[in-house]
Amino acid sequence: MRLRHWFYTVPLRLRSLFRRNQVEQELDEELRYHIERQIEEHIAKGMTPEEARYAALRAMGGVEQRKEECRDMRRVRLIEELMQDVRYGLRTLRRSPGFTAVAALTLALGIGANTTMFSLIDAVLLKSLPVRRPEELVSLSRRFSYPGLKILREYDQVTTGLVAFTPVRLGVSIAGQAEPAVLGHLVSGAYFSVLGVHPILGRLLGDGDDQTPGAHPVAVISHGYWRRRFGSDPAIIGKTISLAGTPFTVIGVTPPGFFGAEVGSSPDIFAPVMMSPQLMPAGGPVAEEGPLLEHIGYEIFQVFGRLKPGITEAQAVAGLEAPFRQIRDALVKRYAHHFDARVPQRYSQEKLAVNSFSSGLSQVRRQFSRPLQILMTVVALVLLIACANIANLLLARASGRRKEIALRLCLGAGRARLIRQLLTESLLLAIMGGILGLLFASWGRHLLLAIMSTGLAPISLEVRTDYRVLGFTGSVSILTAILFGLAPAFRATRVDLIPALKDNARGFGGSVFRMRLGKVLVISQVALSLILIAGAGLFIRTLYNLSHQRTGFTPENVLAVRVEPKGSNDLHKNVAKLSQIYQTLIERVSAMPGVKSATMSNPSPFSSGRFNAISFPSKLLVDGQPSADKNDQNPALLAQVYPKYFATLGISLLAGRDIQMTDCSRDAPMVVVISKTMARRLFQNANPIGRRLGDGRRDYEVISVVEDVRYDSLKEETASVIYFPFPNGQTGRGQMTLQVRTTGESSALVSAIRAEAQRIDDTMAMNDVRPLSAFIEASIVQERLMTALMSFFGLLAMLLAAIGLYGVMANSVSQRTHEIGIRMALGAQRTDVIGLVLRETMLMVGAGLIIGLSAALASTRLIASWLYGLTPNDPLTMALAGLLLLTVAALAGYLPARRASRVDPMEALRHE
Amino acid sequence: MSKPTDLVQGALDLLIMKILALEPLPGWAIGRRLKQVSGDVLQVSAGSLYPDLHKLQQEGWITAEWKPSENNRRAKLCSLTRLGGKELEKEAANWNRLSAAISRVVKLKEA
Repeated sequence: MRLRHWFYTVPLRLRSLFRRNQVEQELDEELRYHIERQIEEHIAKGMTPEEARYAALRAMGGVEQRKEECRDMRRVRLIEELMQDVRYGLRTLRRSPGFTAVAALTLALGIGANTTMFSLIDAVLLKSLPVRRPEELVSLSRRFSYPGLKILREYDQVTTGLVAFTPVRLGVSIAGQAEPAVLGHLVSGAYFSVLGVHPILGRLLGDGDDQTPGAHPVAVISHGYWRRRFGSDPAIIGKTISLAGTPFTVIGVTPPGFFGAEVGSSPDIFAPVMMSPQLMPAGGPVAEEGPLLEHIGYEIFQVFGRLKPGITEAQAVAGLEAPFRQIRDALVKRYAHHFDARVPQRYSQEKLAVNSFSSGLSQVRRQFSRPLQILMTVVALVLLIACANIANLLLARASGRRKEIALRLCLGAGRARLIRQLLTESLLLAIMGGILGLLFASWGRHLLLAIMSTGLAPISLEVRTDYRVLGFTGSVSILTAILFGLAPAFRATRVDLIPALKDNARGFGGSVFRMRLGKVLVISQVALSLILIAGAGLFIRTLYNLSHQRTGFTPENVLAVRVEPKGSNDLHKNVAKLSQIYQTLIERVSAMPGVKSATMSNPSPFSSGRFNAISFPSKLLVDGQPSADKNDQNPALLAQVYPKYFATLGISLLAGRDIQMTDCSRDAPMVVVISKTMARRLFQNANPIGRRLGDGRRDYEVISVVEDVRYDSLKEETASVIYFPFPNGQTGRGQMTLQVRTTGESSALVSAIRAEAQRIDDTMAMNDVRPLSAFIEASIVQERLMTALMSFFGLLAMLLAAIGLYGVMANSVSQRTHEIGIRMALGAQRTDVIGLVLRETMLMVGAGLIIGLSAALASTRLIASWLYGLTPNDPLTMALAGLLLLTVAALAGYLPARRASRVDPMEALRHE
Repeated sequence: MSKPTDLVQGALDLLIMKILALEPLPGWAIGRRLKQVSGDVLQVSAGSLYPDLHKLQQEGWITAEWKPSENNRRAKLCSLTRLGGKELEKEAANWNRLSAAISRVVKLKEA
């Protein structure tokens, strides 16, 4: 019924709206017809035409009133008035294009910044995975080994099946040609069916593809990789590609938009967990202790599943408690005799939790959620400042429109109606700002993702302008319109009619209030921008400190290439072959023109390669005696290097001799090099050269001491390192890095090195080919992101505050022309007038600075974790920020002050 | 001049729709017809009639078309729509119930 009613009435309303002229004409005609008939009737009764007409009109009681009543019945009053307001508002805005442009642009910057941040936060933190019913997915809070997964599955009654995945970088070669390495995920057979994802080509992995270790060389490739590498060739199914040296058959392609279960990374290859022995870079002690997939301590798999209907997360935890306890006990037992007694203890204290997995897992989320949240706050502040600015502009405009508004009020316009009209204007501005802001946001997003992606792992995020982003932008625009438009609208319509209508009167009462509101706005702008400037200053100084931090090596002109020959995952079995390959590679690359020296090592500085470590240095034996160093908080890191490592990286040799090629053999006398800190820890001030170092099983002679190096982060303490000549110690698949010091620009050598590597071993993959300095850059990507954005927004905020200040002072000066004229006529000098205006400016700025400074001191703690080499309340930074703002403010105040000083007293007085 | 709308809310709607149910009429004639059939008891002023006609039209209960009238004039002829017919039935039933109830109360014997 309701709907049918609408069916009839909507066309009628539309007619009233859009055929307004016709409707009006008909109304006119209808009433005229009535009156004419009435007149005829009266004449027929014997009245004179005059009398008849008069009587008829009187009976009608005012034709215009009747019309108005009829119009009211059309039920489109509100819309009609709104359209009127919009038309009028557009006309008004067009009449002052300067104001409109400044206001819309200011808003666009504010709204655009907010939209950018929101769309990133939405993609990184809020959005659900693009899979079937993501809200049912849960993940377990810790990683498990494959035997652990089997125990969990055996007991599991709460999910429809638990599946595992783990990321791995894979060297690819196709038709005998090495390709750029790609990101792969090793996944359980049921992974895709649990997620509810269907292939667009071929088939996805199933349980049958995940039964026997090493027996399922099949792979699914991503839609992106299929399009990028294979040109969307449907004949890809059944083709063979080689992953980490093992041939795999491509069986299917995932749908577009599917990026696995980890937001921010998009794997190109999915292979079965059962292929881990072939694909995982197993290094360290685990490799010596039997097959990977049977090792309870090889906990690399992230486990998730879909809850059965009606099962809550708490029930799931309870349901998985028993198998978890069994796994925990097995781990404790397995490591009961670990040389570090804390290891089994740590295992015995672990707890299991079940978390919602609806938005997946994310390294990016861990890395960027805090920066994004802080930046969201920052852009919200910038928008607030922008709102204050526009409110100020509107106030200034309102004083110019006082006569017009007073006139309308006199003619009977309702105050509410006028406020509505003014708010409509604000809304129009906000909508313009919003549309422009969307444009800015699409640029800003690309820029931001580009900065974020300078880290080592490429970040791929689906960030689009979808309905969520549009909804956000729309709401923000409307909110800002209310925020900046309401107060000025109320203020503008409270006009003292009589003085306002008089030509020159200033309406002092209203003016004082208006000025006060304007000043409050400016003070808060100054305060807010001081917070942002101070924050930016802290980041800039942090970045300066970091980039001037001594690393202990010279990264300039050094190229780093991670190499991965076939068989590198089993150093023990292939030691002869691998030594041969590495030595040949180093010799040939060293001989290339433009190369000063070449070497290899594991790990390489800042490459996020993991050290093997002795986490319990007090167990080290010095000359057969227990070490004097009892500091077990700081593990001793173990590195493997080739000759010239220290020379190539520019690490100073403090004492002793460099490693020679003759040391690089398992048959040679065993020697080590130790870092300065390590030497101090083990030998205090004694000379370590020639002393012996042992771990209980083997014994090494210390041949030299080298300078300390930062290996992972510019902020960390320097590490205590023991360097072994290459084949001694452990490396896993593809963990050796070739470092080449060049005489000039290093990038030209990349293809030559690649070709040489192919000649030595055509299955050898080369990953992460970058200048060493790029690895350092990548380690401070968060700091750089924050510095760049904080500086931009800080400057923007300051600029807006300066514009606001200028606007208020300029307006104040023009309102006080008369007063200034009198002062000058009475003998005030130009400097007096400038002082008068500047004093007022500085009073506002001073108040803003004091408020801003206290707020900054209280809030910079939030960014303390990013700062380096200074405290969050660093006095120098605070002082500089205040000084900068003061200078800019003084300039903004000086311009109106100078204009005030040029007032011609005669002119000003005559004007009155 | 009596204003029926002042008496019972909605009564004017009912009267107009009932009259138009008999035959399509221009606004002016509706007032005349009402006066005539009610034996000069009910009169509606132009000030009440026209807004009400517009309201009924916006509700979709009556519709109007322009027809030539005497002296080369056009008259806006109002007629009841199907939707209006249903509404009239409902309103008439309501009115009967209401007036019967009022009558019962008015006719109560005082003790």
